[in-house]
Amino acid sequence: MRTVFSKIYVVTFLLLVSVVPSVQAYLDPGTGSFILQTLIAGFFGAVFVLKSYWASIKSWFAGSAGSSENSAENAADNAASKESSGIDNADNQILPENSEAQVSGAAIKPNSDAKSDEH
Amino acid sequence: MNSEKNPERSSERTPEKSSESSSEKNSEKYCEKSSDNSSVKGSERYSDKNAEKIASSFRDPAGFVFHNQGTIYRQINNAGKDCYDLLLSSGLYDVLKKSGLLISHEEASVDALDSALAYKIIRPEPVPFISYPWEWSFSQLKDAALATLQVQKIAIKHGMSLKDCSAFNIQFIASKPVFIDTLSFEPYQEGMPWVAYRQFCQHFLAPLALMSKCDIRLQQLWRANIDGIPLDMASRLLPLRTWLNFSLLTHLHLHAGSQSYFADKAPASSSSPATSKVSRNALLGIIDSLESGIRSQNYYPRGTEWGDYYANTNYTDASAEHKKTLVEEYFNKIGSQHLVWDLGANTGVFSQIAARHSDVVVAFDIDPAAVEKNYLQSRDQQASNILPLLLDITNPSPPIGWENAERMSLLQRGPADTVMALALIHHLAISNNLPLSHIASFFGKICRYLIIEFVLKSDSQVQKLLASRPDIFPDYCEAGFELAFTKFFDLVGSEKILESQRRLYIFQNKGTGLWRRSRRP
Repeated sequence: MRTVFSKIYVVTFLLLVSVVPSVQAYLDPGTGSFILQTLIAGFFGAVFVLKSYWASIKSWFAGSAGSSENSAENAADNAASKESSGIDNADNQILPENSEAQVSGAAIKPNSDAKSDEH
Repeated sequence: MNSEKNPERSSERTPEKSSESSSEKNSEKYCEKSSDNSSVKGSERYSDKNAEKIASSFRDPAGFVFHNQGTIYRQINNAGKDCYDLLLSSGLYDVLKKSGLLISHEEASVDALDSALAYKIIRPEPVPFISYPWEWSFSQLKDAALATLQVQKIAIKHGMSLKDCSAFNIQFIASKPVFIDTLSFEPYQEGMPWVAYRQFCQHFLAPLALMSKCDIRLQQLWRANIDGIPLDMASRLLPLRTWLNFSLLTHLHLHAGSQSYFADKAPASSSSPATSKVSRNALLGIIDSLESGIRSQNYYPRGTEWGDYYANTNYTDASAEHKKTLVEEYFNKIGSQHLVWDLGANTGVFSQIAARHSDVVVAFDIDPAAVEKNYLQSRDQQASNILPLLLDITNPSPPIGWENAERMSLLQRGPADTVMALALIHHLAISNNLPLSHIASFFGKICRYLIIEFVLKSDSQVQKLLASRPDIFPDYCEAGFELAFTKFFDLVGSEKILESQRRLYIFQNKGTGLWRRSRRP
């Protein structure tokens, strides 16, 4: 599995360093969008899981874990407001990409559920 | 995979006020020569009073939008039955509706437009005025993007996912972005990539990045690209430093490269969507990253021609106050209005007066900084009825898309009950060489009442416009102005603005009889 991912990231690297040509394809360019998601899924899945647990730890120390149970719905109320969700610039975190979280996502609770584990 | 279906112009008026608007009646009203077939194109589509499908509503087999007697309905086809039922039974509709993110609707007992396909008919909450991304300010597009991602995150929690991410699925109601396509939801399938990822990047991330990192005016690329900004073009235009922004690197540059690389290739088995998985957490991580990418795009309105207009006018305090008083008086005279267009609204000082006398004020301006400031101001107010939009009145939004009918022109979204054109006419007549007769004819097509300011040649602002060019405007005077406009309007009143070289007029369209008939069919 690791070999497969290594190859994928080599291809990714080549794409990164190449100049992007015009897309004048016969096929739907959505194919590339689909495949890109599968390439980046592992990394973003791992980041997301780590962020979720980090947020839980922070909220535990802040003593505000009790209010996070319905965070998704609460966030919805503030959807249009810029400063509401508190996840700004989160993707700038540098995290190891060898997490297995990406293939076991079903077993790992998402953000809000992870927070509620603190109770 | 492009699953974009049809967003909808969900509706333009409340049912009880439906007769006040809708494009269907454009031809009957102010166009002085409504019988010569030269007026608004929308009249051809909506010429009868029977139910008719909305022109942009053709992509989604799950349903479509139609109008009947000025009320907008959405037909849910049998093909969309399961998705619609899941939307309700999962609780997703209630959560989104309660949060104001999704347009509310009620099921209607009216005849289906296509009964062979129909499962249900719903009547969505009316949208006061349909607007498009090329007319939004930077923050409007940004808020629309964040609202879309929020909808998707909540949908995933309820076992559903957005099957398209069109910016046209967002409309602004009371200065808040609202998702208006009730049929955009499908059951979430664990492991599947997000089918709307490409569209989200094209419709939101690419234009916002270009506006933020290159030039705010690149928003107008939207007009030529109805399905959003092509990622390869955005990637080429963006400065090299954006490769250091992780979200832009991944979702724009790498995304564009991936599209290009795989465009003419059958997916290799190792990377086939059929065999590769995007877990739930991975999908949430991608959405999280997109959200961070959107939030990191910023625009600070400054340095444009009109952004500081009110600090650089030639009004004295007395003349500014007098002008406000006159506008207020004129609105008191004509009574409560439904739809007001404020052309050249700048940051909306006079729009706020109009807002006290109307249901909706659309505050148009040519300057992105002014529209941005106006939107931020409106957004901070609770339930503001002012909708700031970007518009060059000398080149207003055209109808675009399939058969030039998917997205409406400005005129097709009119007419307004009242138009305000304050400190505007000298820019049209002198800067743009428009004859007064043309200007009057145009206003005759778009409103019942017209509140307009005439700026004399002796005014310092007009002198600035004439400073570097010969005066080829012999008719540009009060008498010439009144002569041109009284061809299309009856003069209701006028008054010179104190301590200025300006006069404020209020006119009533001579097509009033037609207006009344179309309002109360």
